[in-house]
Amino acid sequence: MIVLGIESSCDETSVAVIRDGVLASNLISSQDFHKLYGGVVPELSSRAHLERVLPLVKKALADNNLSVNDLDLIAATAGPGLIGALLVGFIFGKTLARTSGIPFVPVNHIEGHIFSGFLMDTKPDFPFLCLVVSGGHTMLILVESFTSMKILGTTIDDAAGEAFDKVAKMLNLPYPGGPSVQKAAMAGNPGAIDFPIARLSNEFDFSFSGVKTSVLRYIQKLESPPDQEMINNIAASFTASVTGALLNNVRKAIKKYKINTITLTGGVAANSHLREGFIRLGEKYGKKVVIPDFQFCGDNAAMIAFRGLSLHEAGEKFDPAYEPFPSFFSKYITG
Amino acid sequence: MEGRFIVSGRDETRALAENFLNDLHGNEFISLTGNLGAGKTFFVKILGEIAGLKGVSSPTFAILNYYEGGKINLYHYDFYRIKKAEELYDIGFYENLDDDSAVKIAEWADLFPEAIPSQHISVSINLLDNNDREYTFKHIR
Repeated sequence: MIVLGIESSCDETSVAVIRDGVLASNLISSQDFHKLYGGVVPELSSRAHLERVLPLVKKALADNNLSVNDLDLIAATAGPGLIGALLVGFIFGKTLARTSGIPFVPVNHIEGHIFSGFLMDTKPDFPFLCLVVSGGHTMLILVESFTSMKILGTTIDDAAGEAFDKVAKMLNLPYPGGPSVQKAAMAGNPGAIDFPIARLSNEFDFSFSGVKTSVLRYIQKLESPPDQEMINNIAASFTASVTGALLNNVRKAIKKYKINTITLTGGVAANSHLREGFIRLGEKYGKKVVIPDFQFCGDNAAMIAFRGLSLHEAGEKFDPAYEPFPSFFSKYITG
Repeated sequence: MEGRFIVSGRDETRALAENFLNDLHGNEFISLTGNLGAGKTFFVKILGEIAGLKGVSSPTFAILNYYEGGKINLYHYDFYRIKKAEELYDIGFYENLDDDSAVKIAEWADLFPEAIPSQHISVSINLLDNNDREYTFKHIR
């Protein structure tokens, strides 16, 4: 079984091949397309996806000595995301599947993240808890099987990754905000400043807008612009606050639900404070911990190909008239 | 609704948002401006709550969120991550401008003033020293 996966929901175009259950290629535009063509960083646009998707598909096939006729299944991200961006990968994949006479599987991007742990040698055991944290999403999900999931909590305002980016901007730290806040935080004191996190009516929900404003307020009240030590302390205290809120909800869910594994995925899973805290939490409660490699945490097509394969193997069939969806939609996930 | 209002806390913000919403026909374009942390998304979230739109959250990453099923339909944009005006074509910004069945709100609209319809409502939010918020509403024609 050879599966082609395509992801184009936001900034990255990505193409992956899974061959007999083993990941053979996972090309991601920000890395691989630039290696191919060099030059300018393409801006956010469907035109950029359009320019990148065909060369990436050709490269993924060529790297594995495959032709289009060898493919058995094509999966592409159907949503959520920017409709113009989604349409490029989705229509490309759907058309290629149609003309090749093979099945096409539309994939929910979040479901891709949820099952990205299965791309690792050590795989999650059902039922498991998944914390998806990225620039655009913050969700805690109870995963019972490949076709049954429940959202326990979600952000009511900003995503965790967005809070990192915006605090980086307030501190004049370079983009992308996640790594630069982490670097400053390493040298700072996480207990220096108390940035409170809101308590919410749903015990598993998240809110990061308030902590962002607290940081802003704190900086504005300083008599002079913050020196490096102060920047480090703000970054460390802010990080402690955000990771504390994330881990606290995971802890509550571990206590409330019978689960075997906890998994952490999405771009913010790269944050070392969050990773370390997550691993400690798993050790404390005797749960298996799965944190995918970074190439599977950010937006990537390997997770889309895997998710497509898992739905296909579960016997799911999709109408050829299936349309992409910009807003969140999943028949496998309950609110 | 026009003028300058200073509000303190969630309840006063909600009362202000309620008045603002009552004056809308449901097809307006609203430019929403204010610094990082001023409370732009918060204001839209409160508007959404009053209008019966569920789960309004930050569009910074997604750039556009669409909500329906309440008293109004809503396109909620955020220009924060947009680098070039031409990217606005790609996100369908100009197509949705013609949609008379929905309110259009753009956070950080001041980043691309040339893209904003000449007739619109300008809402700016300013975070004051005591954590109060100053809202300024203007009809631009």
